[in-house]
Amino acid sequence: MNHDDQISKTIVRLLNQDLKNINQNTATKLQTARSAALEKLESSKNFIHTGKNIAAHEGISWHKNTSLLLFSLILLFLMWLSFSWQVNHDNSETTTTETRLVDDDLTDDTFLDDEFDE
Amino acid sequence: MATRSEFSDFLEKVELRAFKQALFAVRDEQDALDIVQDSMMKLTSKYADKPPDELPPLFQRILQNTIHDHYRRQKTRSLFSSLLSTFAPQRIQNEKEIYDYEFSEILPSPSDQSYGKNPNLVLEQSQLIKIIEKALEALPARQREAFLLRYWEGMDVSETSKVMGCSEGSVKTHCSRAANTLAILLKEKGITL
Repeated sequence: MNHDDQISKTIVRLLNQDLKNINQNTATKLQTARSAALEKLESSKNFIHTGKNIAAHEGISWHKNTSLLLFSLILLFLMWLSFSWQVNHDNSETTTTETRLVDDDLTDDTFLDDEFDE
Repeated sequence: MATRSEFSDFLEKVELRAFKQALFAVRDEQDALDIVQDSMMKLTSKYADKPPDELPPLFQRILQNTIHDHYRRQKTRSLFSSLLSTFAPQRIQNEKEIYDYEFSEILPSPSDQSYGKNPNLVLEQSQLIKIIEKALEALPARQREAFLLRYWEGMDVSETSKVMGCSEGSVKTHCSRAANTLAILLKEKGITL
């Protein structure tokens, strides 16, 4: 045993002896703190059983759920993109026809509804 | 996963040493009690699913982190209240107390049958412990942390390095320096261990 170890062990022995002299008030407070912590243990265990542990036991981990969510979001975005493109395309065709009618700039093969009514 | 009784036994076993460790670090009994309670709470609320053999290093890590958090909060508070200078004189005063203390040296031994019976011996023993505690308080934080984890908590170098978040070489250096400093401080009081 080297000198450092010898000094350290003597100091530790003295410190351990001093633990017996800790005052009652402090010991009681520590005991209360321990009880409070153990109560917290019960509540945290309940929480784990209803959430984290069930997921872990069923083999569902949070990153798998995240991937699923991300995939769903991308799918939704693509559907929205496709729908909005279709709507815009339809709108542009309707607008062109309406504009031609308003300007009275009809092509030769266009027949108005009341042209032959006399 | 550790059971409630295993948690209870573990906390009962470590609470006094944890309190003393915190007390050496923050030098205030109420703050030390708060730190120990916070550490216990964190352990039971966040690591309830850990097996019993993982609890000692985990608790020590939480305790050391809580002590560091306390230092940070105190530092911020002192900045805001512009009382930064009050810490330095207090430390010097504490160190002065160590050197000014007149100690009649005596070392107890476990084989000493009269230990605990002779009032003079008990008094001298308590004086010696007070000097050692003051010397521990005067150590740099990292040295004290390494020394207490390694020798008082009985951790090996590898465990201590994990708890402290440093290399094994640093732990050995801190421990050696702490032991040397303590030996010098005690020798100056005429105590040879």
